[in-house]
Amino acid sequence: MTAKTSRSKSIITEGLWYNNPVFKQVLGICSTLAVTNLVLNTLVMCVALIFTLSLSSFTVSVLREFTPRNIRMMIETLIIAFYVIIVDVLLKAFWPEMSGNLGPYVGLIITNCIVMGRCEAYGNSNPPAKAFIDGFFNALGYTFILLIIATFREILGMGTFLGFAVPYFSGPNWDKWIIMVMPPGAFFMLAIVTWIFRSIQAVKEDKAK
Amino acid sequence: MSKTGKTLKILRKQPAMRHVLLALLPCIAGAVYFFGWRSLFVIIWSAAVGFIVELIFTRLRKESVSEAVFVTTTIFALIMPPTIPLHVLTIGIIFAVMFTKEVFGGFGRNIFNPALAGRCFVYVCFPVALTATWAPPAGGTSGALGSWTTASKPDAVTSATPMAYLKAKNIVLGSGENAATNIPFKIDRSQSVTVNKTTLLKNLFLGRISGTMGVTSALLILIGGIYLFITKTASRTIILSLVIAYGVLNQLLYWAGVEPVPGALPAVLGGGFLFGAFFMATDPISSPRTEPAKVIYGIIIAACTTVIRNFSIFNGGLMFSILIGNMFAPILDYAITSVKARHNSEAKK
Amino acid sequence: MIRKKAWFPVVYMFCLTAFFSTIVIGFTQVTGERVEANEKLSFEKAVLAALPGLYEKNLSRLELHKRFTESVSPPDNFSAAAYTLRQNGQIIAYALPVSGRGFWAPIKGVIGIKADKKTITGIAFYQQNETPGLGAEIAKAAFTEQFRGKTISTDGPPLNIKRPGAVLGDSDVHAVTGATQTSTRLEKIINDGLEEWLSRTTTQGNAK
Repeated sequence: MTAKTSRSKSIITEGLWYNNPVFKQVLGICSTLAVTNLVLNTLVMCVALIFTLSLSSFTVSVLREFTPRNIRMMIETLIIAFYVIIVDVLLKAFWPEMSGNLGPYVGLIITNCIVMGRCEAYGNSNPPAKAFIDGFFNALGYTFILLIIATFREILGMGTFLGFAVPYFSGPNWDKWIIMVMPPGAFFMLAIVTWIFRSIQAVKEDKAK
Repeated sequence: MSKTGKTLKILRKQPAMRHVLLALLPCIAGAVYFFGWRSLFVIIWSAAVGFIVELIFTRLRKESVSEAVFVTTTIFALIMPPTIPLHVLTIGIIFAVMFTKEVFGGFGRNIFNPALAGRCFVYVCFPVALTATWAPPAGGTSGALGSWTTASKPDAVTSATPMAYLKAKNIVLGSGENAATNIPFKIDRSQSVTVNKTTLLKNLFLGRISGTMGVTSALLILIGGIYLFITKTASRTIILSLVIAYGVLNQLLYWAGVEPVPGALPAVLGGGFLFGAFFMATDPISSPRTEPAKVIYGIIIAACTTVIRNFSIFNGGLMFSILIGNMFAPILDYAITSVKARHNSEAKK
Repeated sequence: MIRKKAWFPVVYMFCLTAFFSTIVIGFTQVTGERVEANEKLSFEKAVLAALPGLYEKNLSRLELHKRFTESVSPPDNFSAAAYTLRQNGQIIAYALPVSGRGFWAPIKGVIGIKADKKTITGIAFYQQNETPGLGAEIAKAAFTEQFRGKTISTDGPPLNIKRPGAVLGDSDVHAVTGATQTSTRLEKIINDGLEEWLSRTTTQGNAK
């Protein structure tokens, strides 16, 4: 029992921290750069990724006993595409503005390396429940990094947070950092976030030794 | 290098950088003369900020601060508009020193020219502060020596530089009698003013026009530039190849009747082109090291500048071009040395 | 073992594809109409916003659409490309769709014009992808509200977008600060659209 809980706990910490998909594995960067200019866009994108990643990892894991090894990549892509299309269609039908804001990036979750990577590395060789948890927390690891980036970009670039004006930053004394709203700003923010988090990790590892 | 840190000197002596600083003096004087004492304050402020940022990073690596940082900050300050707000300036300097120099490992290891990369960052980040507001140059013989700044708060704002007006056809070159004999500071978008070509050239040469702080006068740039040229502080090959290629290209396009190319002289004299050619493209770290590569490097920059200045939506053509040139510098060097190596080995056979 | 058979992967792939595609196709069928309606609705919303006294912020989708179909009539021979707002058969305003190249991507919008073909009743954009925080401000009320009540100039360009801070005439508005390129292009889009439409409607009016 204790062994089991500690193992599922390690799945969680791996996904969120030690093996974080964004700053450790450096996966799924294109969407990180593209959608993080507003916190709301980022949230929707992350929810879409959590949905897709956990469920496709789960489905891959359910089918793993039957899937012939030589066509497993095709099957994985098919499953991922299935969930992504569902998210995409839902957004188009019920939240057209958001669908317009996110542009092609929801559809591009299909090629998001995190999804394929987790399905290949974990879902393919582990039982469904674990695959689901692994997918969920990897997506959550992606989410919290993206939210940090998006928060800074929106406040510095637009003076707002979730669309609400932030005092001082939306005022006349704050010169808005236009570059933060544009894709290059994401490069710098991502670099800084990776820098900070990896330094923290390095310090912790040194202490552990 | 000593590891104790106690015997560490704060500054690393770099004679070449001192030459460059000396050569920048005429431009600094020009900045004060045309736009007031605030220019000097801006230059000193930039140097202080740049020094502190570099000090922090070099301490981490247990190295000394390079004198090159002052060249970076001075050049950066000189290519800012006179109305530059201090926070924009500070952010630009921090970006220039931190992200284009220190993260690559400090002096001698950067890919891009730090001053230009910093300028590029603030240019994209604060387009209003960088491109929409200009101050008029002071008139009279004593210039702006008696004033802090020439930008009077409410109305010295939205305007454009002569080169931008020329591109937007607000200034039309002509020689007729009703051609204006001085360059208007502010022109409405739908208007167009005919300006005598020699007037334009004279103003570009002497520098009594609106523009970035230290770069309006071709004469002052040339005084410093020729000093660099004679002392061989800056690569002669780069300067010659860049200026000649740019002049020839513009003149050819002008003769071919391509709009809105203004011809070789206004192009070379205007928009701080000479400043870029003498002081920025020749940065010994981000430019190529082999002679043939330097020639190609100059031609690449000249071609890109011509295209961006005349046919794109941006006005900062030279800035982007030098950064593009920087990008090609390592591979040019690599290509030249490998061609030479092959040549040598074939000769030996 | 069935998995070892050579035909198994093909059949397996086929079955899975068929299974998932069926669900996706069914799903798109159900939501397809709604997606189409959304696209139409963003245009209808812009038309209503450009015309006088029709648009309210908190209208539901259905009410929006109802209002559009009830009060706005599609372009006919007389109004050229413009949608019209009529009251007792009399035209009281036109809504002219315009489009053209923006700074990054096409800009599409609607200009509302009074029956006298001189006064602007409003302007709205339903598609633009300008720089957020700069050019994209053209879609915000602070910019579009300026157009309300302006008159189309008869000599020179119909409307002018002037530098921020410039003195405004009857047919001028202020540009968004810093968004020079977007403003220049938008000015061209608006003026080209207006000029073309005006020339088409006046020649028709004369023929009658």
